[in-house]
Amino acid sequence: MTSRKFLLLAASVAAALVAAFGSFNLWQDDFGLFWSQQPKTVWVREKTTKYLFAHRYIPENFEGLLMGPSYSDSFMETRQIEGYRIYNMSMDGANATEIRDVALTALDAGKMRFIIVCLTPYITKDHGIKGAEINPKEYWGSVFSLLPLDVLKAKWAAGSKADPERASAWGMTSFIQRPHMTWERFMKSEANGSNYYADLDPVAVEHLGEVLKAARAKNVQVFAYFYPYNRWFTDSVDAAMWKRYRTAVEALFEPGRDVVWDMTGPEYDPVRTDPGCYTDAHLSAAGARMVLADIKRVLDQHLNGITAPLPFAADDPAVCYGKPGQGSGYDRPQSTLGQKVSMHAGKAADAN
Amino acid sequence: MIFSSPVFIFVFLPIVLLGFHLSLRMPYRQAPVLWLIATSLFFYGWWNPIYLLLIVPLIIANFALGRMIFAASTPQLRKLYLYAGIVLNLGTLIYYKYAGFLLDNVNAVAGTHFDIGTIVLPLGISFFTFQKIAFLADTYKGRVGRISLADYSLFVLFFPQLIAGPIVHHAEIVPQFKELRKQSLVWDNLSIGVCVFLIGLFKKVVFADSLSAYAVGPVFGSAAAGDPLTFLEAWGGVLGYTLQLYFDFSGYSDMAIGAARMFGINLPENFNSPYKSANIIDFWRRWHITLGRFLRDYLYIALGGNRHGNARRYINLFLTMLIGGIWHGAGWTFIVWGALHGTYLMINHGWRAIKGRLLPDLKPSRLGTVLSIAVTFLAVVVGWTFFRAESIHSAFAIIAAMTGANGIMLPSVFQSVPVLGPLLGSVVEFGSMGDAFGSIGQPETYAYIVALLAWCWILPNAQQIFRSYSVSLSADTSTPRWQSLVFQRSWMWAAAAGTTFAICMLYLQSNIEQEFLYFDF
Repeated sequence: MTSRKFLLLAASVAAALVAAFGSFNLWQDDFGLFWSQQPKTVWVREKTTKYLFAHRYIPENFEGLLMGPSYSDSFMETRQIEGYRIYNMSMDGANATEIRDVALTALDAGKMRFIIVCLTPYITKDHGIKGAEINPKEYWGSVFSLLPLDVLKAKWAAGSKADPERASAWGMTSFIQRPHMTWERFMKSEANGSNYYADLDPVAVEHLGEVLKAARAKNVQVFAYFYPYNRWFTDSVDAAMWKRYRTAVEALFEPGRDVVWDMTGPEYDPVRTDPGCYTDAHLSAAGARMVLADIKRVLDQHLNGITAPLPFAADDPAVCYGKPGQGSGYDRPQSTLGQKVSMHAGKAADAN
Repeated sequence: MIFSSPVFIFVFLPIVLLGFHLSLRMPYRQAPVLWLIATSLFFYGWWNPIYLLLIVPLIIANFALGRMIFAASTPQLRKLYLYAGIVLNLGTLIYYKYAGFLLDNVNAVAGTHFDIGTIVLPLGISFFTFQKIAFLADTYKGRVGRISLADYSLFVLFFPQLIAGPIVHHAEIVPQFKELRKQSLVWDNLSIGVCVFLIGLFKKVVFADSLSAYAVGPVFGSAAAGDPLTFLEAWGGVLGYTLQLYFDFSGYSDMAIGAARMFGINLPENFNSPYKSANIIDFWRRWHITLGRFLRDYLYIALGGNRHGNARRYINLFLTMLIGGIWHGAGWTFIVWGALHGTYLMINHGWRAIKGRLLPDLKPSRLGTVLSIAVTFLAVVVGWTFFRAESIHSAFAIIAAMTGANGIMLPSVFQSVPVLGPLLGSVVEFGSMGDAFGSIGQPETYAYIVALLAWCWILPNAQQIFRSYSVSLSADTSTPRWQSLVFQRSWMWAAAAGTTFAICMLYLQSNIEQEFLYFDF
């Protein structure tokens, strides 16, 4: 074979393979970028996937966005908020920059009615794209890169049907609960919790502000709630640092226009003092249901003028525990069922 | 611009090739050389144009010094010009590469607070500094004839070897520039060059970059943060780096050799399956061959080599490797790595001397060779731990974990293996997959590492695959174990080349962070 013919043949093989793989992925359209109208779930690389969904799938199928890190992601099945089509755009490990880049893409289409931001110091502790997962290169990467191959692999492993408990077409992606986490260990770990809340990054705060500004510019109603950290966590934080964070973030909102509410307030203590509502710092399925119900309450009030009470009773000693199918699976001692949990239990466990 | 970027592959390289072949038809004899100089300057300036202001004056100054040495009337003047050249080149290198490190150490010892700010290391400075010094030293020794400024400039600048080698010797490349216009095998060179380039690209983007993300970064990062590593994590990370470095640098060298061949120029071989080495002496004849050659010819021999007795020979060996370590980077970990290899070489030479005296007729058995390869590999792996670690302290922490100092935990799947399970159970713990594998990820990563090790130990290298086409200078063209892997222009090889290119494109289009490890050296 002549060298010329050899090169021509090699180039033809490469071109044929690229074309075949690309055509297959265009036909699959796993990210709803080109033609597919089917519901889409996150199979791999949540940040990249939701970034790609934000181009077309989200604006064309939803009227609202829930955005935040894993705290508003795990078990937060927004389908449960009846009467609204809200896509859960929260991403595990996301910071304000990543949230901004995905949110601005989704808002660009101009079809959103409202956004809901889950406020936690986690998103404002640093800025920048972590691990380069959100990148415009991924648009065509959805056709020709390892990404569609990874999706194919994940689908094949799952028998091409997504586990509805793990991921939904409404954006929820949940984490496996920790079976080894006992109630006592939970309290101990939360009381010794991370101090990331102390790292307030002004650039990240600015990036969060850009999302809010972009939403207002498109007449999108802004809702935001301070994530209901459990009491073991909030009681262990440095009050001055916590206040610094709150002041910086609250300054981003326009009173009278934006709706901001605080789930760390005392009225949320029935949730925040019930370990059944948490897997760790994250919400359990039962805890997520309480938060989703509360989001619905606030949306109803401000978008439809319907006023309703909090979705749990102030004197309920176990909001999440003991409700069939709602518990987080912790081994809560029988003797404490029906009692308020001592806020010092974690510290005691720590001392032991 | 890196070789594995779309802009290099689809824009720069085709344009340079097209221009080069057009220049071959131009009546002006130096046109191809000037074209390659211009495009090489563009290639270098793409990264940061400001450093063209460094490399161009350095080329002119070195060329002038070479001329002055050549024309000097007295030996004293010749020596003076040589020393001036060495001071100029080493001074520049020391300023850019070592000033910060030296000041940090002065500050630490003297309690001072000198600060010269951040100095960005110009790409390839360590490589082209060596080339220029070798040129001046050879001119001084009368080994260099008259050479034009254009040929000298291209010798330094020729883009395939400019930023990470192979470290080219003027005697092996300048004569090729004179033959550029005599090319008759344009398509032959192109097809061979493309295939060698593709092998390098595959090694780089498919193997090296994926190892970096999944195995190496998390483990060395955890060690630097003070997190205790498990036995498997430590081994996974260090073996991952051992493979990453090899595939990264040998992949780069293959790409350089392939790119040069597209212009009809043969570069020297830089890697010859180094992990198949049966001793450290052998390793240094197979790993970064052009660096080893430079260290031997211009440092070890300059220090006296073996001309002043055994003791001096061992000291010279040690010093050569120590300086080789420092050349790689400004840091104590590189110094320890160099010292370690110096020690290895002293032991290896000592063992050879003892064996020659006591067991002169001892022939290595098959098992003995396998054991020698294993011991050599282990010694190299320990060295790489220092080479990659953030600090000496974290290198020791990783090595401790590799010895099982933090306990040995294996995935519980091993527990149920008949015979092996109970046997292992008496010495190790079994745990859940997540706990045992921690940050390094899943068992697939380990399977991947094992497969790549097998690749290194079993398969032939690029030079052996292309043995009939002499793709590089002084290459090992021994017959590989599997004859079917020797390249020939057949439809099978064309399909393989096309598939390799498509896979590389798949990886290049993916969001995998690319870094060339040797760009930092």
